[in-house]
Amino acid sequence: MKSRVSSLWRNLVHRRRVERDMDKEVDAVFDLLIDEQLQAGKTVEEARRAATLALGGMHGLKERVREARTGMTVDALLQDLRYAWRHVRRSPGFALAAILTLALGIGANTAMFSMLNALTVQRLAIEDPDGLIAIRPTNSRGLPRSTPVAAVDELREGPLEHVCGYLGGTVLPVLANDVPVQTLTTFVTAQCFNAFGVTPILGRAISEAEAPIYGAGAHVAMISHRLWTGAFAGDPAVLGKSLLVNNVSVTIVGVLPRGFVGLEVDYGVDVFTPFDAVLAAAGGRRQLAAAILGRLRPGVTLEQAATELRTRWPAVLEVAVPATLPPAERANLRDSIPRLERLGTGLSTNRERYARPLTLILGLTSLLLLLACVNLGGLLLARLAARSGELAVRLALGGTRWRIAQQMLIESLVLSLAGAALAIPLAYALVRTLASFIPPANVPHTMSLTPDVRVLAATGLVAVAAGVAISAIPIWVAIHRRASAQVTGDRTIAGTTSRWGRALLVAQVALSVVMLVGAALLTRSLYLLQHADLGIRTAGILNVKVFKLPNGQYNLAHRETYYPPMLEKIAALPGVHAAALAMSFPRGVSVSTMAIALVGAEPSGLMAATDRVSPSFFDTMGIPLIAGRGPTWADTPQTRAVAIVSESLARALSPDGDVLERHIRYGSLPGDQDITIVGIVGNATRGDPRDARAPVLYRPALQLIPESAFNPNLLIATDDPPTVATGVRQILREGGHEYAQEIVSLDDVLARAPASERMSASVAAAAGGLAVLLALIGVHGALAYSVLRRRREIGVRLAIGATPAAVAFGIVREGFMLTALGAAIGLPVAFLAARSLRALMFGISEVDLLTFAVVVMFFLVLGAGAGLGPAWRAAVVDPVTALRAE
Amino acid sequence: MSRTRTTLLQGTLDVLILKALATGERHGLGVSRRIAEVTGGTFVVQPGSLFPALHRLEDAGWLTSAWQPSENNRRAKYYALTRVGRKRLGEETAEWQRVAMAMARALSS
Repeated sequence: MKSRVSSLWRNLVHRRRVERDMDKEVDAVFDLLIDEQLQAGKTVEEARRAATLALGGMHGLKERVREARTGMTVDALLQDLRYAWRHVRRSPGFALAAILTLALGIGANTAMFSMLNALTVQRLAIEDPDGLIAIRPTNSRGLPRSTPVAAVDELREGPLEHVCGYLGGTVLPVLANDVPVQTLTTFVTAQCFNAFGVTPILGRAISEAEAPIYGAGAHVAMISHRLWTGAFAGDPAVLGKSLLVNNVSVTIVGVLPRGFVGLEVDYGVDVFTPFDAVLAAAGGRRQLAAAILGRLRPGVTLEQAATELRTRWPAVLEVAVPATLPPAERANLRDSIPRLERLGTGLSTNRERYARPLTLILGLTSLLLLLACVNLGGLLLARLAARSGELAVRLALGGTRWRIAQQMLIESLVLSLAGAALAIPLAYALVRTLASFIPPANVPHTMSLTPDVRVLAATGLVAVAAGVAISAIPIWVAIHRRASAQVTGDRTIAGTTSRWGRALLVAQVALSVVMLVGAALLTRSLYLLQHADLGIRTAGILNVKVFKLPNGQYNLAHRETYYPPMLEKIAALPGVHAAALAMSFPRGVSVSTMAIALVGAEPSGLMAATDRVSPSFFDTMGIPLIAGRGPTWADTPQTRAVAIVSESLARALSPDGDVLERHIRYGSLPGDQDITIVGIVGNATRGDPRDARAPVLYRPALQLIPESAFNPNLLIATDDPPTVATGVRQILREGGHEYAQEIVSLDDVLARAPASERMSASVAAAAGGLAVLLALIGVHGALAYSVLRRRREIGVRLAIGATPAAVAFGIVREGFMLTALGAAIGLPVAFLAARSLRALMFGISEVDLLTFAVVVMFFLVLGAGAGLGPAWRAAVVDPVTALRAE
Repeated sequence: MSRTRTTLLQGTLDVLILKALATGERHGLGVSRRIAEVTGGTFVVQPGSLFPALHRLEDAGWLTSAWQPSENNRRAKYYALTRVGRKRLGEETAEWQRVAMAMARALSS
């Protein structure tokens, strides 16, 4: 072993000396052989020949000895690296283009990996995240069904340990350190912290006594690390301080470790309190748990636990569902099928919403990287033709084909690894841009989207794969070459490699056409989406999200005496044209609808969205009143229930649209079973351009059931947003009950709605642009090498009378034909591929002929243009020097 | 001497080289001739196989080499066994004898 190490050292460090020694040795053997032959009486020539035959080729022998020595692979590697560096230096343009294209291709893939990793793979920051099991039941229709917390008691004896109840992510007003913060609150029973496996870094966890299964919880809470550092500035004396949660004072007993923000990974939870501590459900009901959490007991598998729970579940519910509830409600709660799952990655709606488009886009970027490798493979192939002489000599002198293959592989790997190094910062920038498309909701999201170890490892793998892919075809071609053929004319090799190269190029153009068509369709659709007629005025409207102050002593009577004067005060501010409030407008995606029908008629499956609005609403939003009247402040819970319908709803209820003074019933609440229609207004969007014609039922703002929460949106038409914003905040502060959480222009709010479309279109456009760029580089490169190789032929043509213009035109035409062929192949493929985009199209069909035609035109022009440079170089070839050079 | 071209496994070649040098140092050609001699012409090792093997064994520490004047007064590279090499030869010989006895018994039963 020691000897091998010293041999390795000697072979690498003293290479030259070792080489010279070997030369001398072989020469000495040769001389010995000659001497023997001479002594046997042969002539000098015969002796030489016999000796040569006996030795079997000096160079081959030396090569084999070299290979047998220790450290051969390292030596070869170093040598290949040196060669690669030399080639790079000799043609820096090619190297730069190659590294850039690889950086873009690998970078795009890394960005997609990062996002998918963050959304689907990243585990919760707890010990053994995959061990966390959740029971999230559904009802017989597959909708989520909550469970009474008492079920936790029943499940203590069972396949799971540390069983606890969990209700996560409720938006409640919280006052932390006298600062209102909008955080998510989660309700837990005590065992949850054991189920999670987290220990508080300060204080203690909520105890069993404080979070009982029966009875209301104590007024205690644990807070997250980021709330501690944020609102309390990391004050170690935070224990014992109190938080106001939903107007209830709770004492902080513990701080959770950094990185743990509950199960809701989209936004993160900051406050953990026991059930029924800060929110008393109506009618003496207890809160329900959305999930039962636990961990498998040792030796129990998930399947066993699931089977056992399925059989026990009805019995568990029998005990857990309180007998005091009305029968209909009890039946509802018992309509429950337990579903067990591992919750290692937490709960996320972003995941469901974005996983599919992201996976689609990952497919796109992989395709793009493939394009890049195809491009570079083609260019390498062209360079191979230029080096065929060198390779032939190497083969003839006894070099093995595998050495040559290894060298090409190293060259490609050097390029791809350099590209990967560049790709990582590129990917980081790309991810940040994409993440900005995920709309912020009430609470900022905490997903970490920076590339982590897994992603970097994947990037490295991709880079290596790219390197191998690039060199694959050139290696294959080089190895299967017959040595003799190469040393003679390079016309034949040039012909074959050129054929391969062209085929690759046409394939690449075809792929680019497909990608560009997709990008163009998505972009046009997005444009139409963003400029659709919404039926409302959007310019110059401020949207103010109002929330209750936790200690605002909000009182139901305030509604009638508080809001009308407040709106008047706002309308009186200088610069304000009109002011209104609405309970749910503007709402982006996820509008809830309920069944609506004329009283006395059968329910027809007609669904409508609803809203509560102030009298000035339609005026402020520019929605025309078509018939009847709008809501007034005189419409109260004491007067008759009235509503205003959108035109589309009017027509759906009655074909002639004449529904004034007709009675309707809406949903299932008792107060909504007999509503009189008093007005009809124009169609207007709820905040998503796609629903501009949806049926909407508007109710007066004051006709609300007393128990419901009311966090209105203020809508203010004004030309001077900043001043008005300050004025509004002032008015709210003076009122003492509410505060403005967010003041934005309505345009910005509406722009958030088509977020996933925006992301898809942007990424597709970028990918399409890259694809076109790569195709251009490919065509240009191929033509440039074509000109280079055929210098002599061009020289001959010029010499015998062809005009430079004709030669140039020939080159341009060559490029044009290549592109045209690629487009011809790509077009039908694009037609087929566009079908997958149908769901994302708005306003245009997925086979919009105009789009296809424009893309094809674009490519043809580009193809002709790509040849201009090489054409110019061909035209200025001096026939004399060209002929002499070959 | 009949020149039968029996293929030589690498391990076999190694042992033959070590044996050839057991009686004293030789240069490359001398090793090949010695092997042909002691195997009665069964194994004729070509330079293309011999020299790589010699260098490999030298790297492994079983041989040393030195430049010395040869028969015709030319300088040649002479190889000799090291102590480790000699030990290795002993091990390999014992192993071969074991194998040969087992084969003989198997084939004659």
